[in-house]
Amino acid sequence: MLTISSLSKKFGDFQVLKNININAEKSQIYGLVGSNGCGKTTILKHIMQVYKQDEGYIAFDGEEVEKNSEIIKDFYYVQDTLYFPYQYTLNKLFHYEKLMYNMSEEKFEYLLKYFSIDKNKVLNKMSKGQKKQAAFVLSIAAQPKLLLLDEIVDGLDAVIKRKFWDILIKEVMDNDMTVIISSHDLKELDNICDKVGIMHEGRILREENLEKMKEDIKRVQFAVEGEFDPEVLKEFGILQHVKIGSVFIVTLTGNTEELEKYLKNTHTLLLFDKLSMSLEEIFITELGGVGYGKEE
Amino acid sequence: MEKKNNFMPILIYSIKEKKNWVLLSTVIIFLTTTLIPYILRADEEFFIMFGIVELFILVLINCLVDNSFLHNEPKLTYYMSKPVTLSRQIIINIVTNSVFTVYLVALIVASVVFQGLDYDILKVFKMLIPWLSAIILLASLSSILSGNTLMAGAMTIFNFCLPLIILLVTMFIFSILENIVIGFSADVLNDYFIKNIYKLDYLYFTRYVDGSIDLVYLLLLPIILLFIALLIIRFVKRRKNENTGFIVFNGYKYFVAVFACLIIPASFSISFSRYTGMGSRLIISALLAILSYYIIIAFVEKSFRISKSSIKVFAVSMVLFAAVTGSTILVASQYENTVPNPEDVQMVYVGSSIWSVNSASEFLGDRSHEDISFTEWKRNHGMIIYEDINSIESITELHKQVLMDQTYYTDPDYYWMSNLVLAYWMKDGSIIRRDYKLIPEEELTKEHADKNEIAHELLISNEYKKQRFYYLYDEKYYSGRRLFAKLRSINDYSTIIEERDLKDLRDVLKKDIDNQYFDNTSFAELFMNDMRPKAVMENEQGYLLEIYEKVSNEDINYLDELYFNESFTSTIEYLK
Repeated sequence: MLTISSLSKKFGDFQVLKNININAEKSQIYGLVGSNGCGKTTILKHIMQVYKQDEGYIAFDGEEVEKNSEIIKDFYYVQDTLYFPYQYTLNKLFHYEKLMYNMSEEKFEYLLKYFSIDKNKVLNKMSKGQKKQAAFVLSIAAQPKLLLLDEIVDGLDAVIKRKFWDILIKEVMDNDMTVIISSHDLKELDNICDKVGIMHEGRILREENLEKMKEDIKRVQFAVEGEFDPEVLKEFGILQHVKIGSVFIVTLTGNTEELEKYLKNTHTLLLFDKLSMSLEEIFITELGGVGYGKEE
Repeated sequence: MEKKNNFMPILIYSIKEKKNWVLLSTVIIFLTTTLIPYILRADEEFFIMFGIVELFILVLINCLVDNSFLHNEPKLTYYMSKPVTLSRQIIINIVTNSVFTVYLVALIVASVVFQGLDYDILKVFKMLIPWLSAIILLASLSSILSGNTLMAGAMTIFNFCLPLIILLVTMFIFSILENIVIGFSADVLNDYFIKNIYKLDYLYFTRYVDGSIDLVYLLLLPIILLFIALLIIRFVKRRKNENTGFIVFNGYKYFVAVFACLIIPASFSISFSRYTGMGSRLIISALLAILSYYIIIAFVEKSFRISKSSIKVFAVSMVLFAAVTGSTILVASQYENTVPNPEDVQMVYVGSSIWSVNSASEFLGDRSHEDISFTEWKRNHGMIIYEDINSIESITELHKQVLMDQTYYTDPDYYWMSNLVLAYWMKDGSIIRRDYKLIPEEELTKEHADKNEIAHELLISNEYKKQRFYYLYDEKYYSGRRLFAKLRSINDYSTIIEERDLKDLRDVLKKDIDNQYFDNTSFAELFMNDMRPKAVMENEQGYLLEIYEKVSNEDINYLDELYFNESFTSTIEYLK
């Protein structure tokens, strides 16, 4: 289990991370989502001890990472801006990393075939997508306990993305791997994440199991006869509301049955439907709540 | 997951990865130290030295390239995310580069052996091995401190030269001091500082090139390397990898900026110390320091707007520099008016050459010259040193006069030097050296006359003559030698008398020298020791007597050139 507690960090005078708390369980895929520059990559680099925190701590399976750097042996980080040593082929890099990790040759060969990658091609001559696949293959072959993937599917086509998730889910199920994925592609994360942390301006706004989050944040559309002021619905935990024609679309945290009952009692209810919410919509709602994307 | 101790396998892997550099270096060294001199049939030793320069460049480039991962965010993240700590990665690079360096040194040695050159050329490695070891460590340290590989290279050189930079700053302080505290010479202080306190020849191992390795070498080398290694460990732990810019650590950034901004005014001040006044030099030095500091900080911080903290650091540093300079001046000024008690003085020099004083001190301190006496050494160096108590008393009296008045009477066309050097070798073994910059004046004053009077006494003393004209007055020297003289005309340098035995001229010369009177220029003559009568210089009329010893018919040893004019009446009369 990965625990990040009260993590804070300043870059010079700029507070990059503010009191970050993250809990990712074993065999869990944790999605780290947030606005651009909110500190997702910075958190991942703190986990890998590339950066040192000003306050707080990071622990894995109860052991503090800063005090026991040996734990990093069980971590594998695939960064957003990939780097490969000069003139290295995937095969050469595999053998180099074998000196540091318990690399599985069997998995490596299997994944090469699965993704159709030429292991003898110089990595820096590969396309961006191929490089991502190569990095992913190495990360899976390394069999880490904690896998950190930074924008791993960014720029990949849908087929490759699907292949990625299939392999990842299989690894998590078979090997109890914990995965932290930071991504802008929220639709993709929606399908695979167990838990999500929504970040904005260096803070975790909300951390929840995705299912629970979806249960907590609901969206309904309704129409009533005559004039209606949505402000009267404050007690139902209204997060957002919008009126399209005569139909109100409301995002709320309160009970939808209670809302329907209230509307029926107070107005002539013409329409009332519950709508499903995607992670992306939850994300926009949460960030909208702190004013993001609503600036003049 | 099984925990691996991966240090050795990664180290071996890292060494194997050097194969391309090894091949390239082998070709370069072989080509420049063996093949080219063979084809050109040129001086092989020059090419070996050239190979050594290449060796330094190759080692430095390799160290910087290997540590360049610290200066690129994705690269740094890649290596730091691997289960090898940053310290271990640095150690792996240091060991790999040490192995690479040993290989290159072996190549140079092989080249010397292969060409059958004198093995003495390899003596230089007694100094170069410490240098190379230090450079490998300093390159790592500088890479940790810097956020850019080019800057890391520059900082490696800066750190390597830091002891020299400190010396330059000290020289700067001394150059200020010599203008404020009279009698103190920056040259003397520097010489004393280097020889007795700040022994750079030990620090840079230069003294071992011609000497043998001793215990100091064996202790000092590991201490220096250990010190740099401890700095590496400290800064690796404290490095903030998120920091960008040319220099990662603020403290180090200011350290470099402050020292670098002192180098330029220091160089200026030292170079122009003899041509400019103290006030203008200080003003120019301060302006240069401010400008240099601003440029360095603007460059390092990549901004023309200088931060408040940078200004504070500069102000504090300058206050500190002023405090150190002030304290040094304060300490020195306590000795400004000190004139030794004649009873405590063993011997004293009065002249104008601080270099001669340093040479004499070196000679007296070095026991390896026991085959030659000090008297002989003085003769060879044309140096007059007084040991007689009366002479010493006269000189201390003269010293007191100089402290009261730093001018002297002279004709500017005649005498041109204005440095009076006094050196007392004390009975307790210490040496007091003073160097006064005197101002020539054309109007005779009472102070001038007082100094001339004392100087005259010294000039007519037997002790002076016995040293200055030893071939005439020193019986011990004179007896049993074949001494001759040749007379020339000053006008056209033509020979008037080809060769005359000195014994024929000795009495008349002695008579004329005894009667010689420098009048108002006695003091100037005493410390300049010129002995060219004014008339000779002005009219180019007179004679030059070349004194020489015939050791054999082939071996002639020239002893002196004696200029004289009609005032040497006895000699002129005799020669007619």
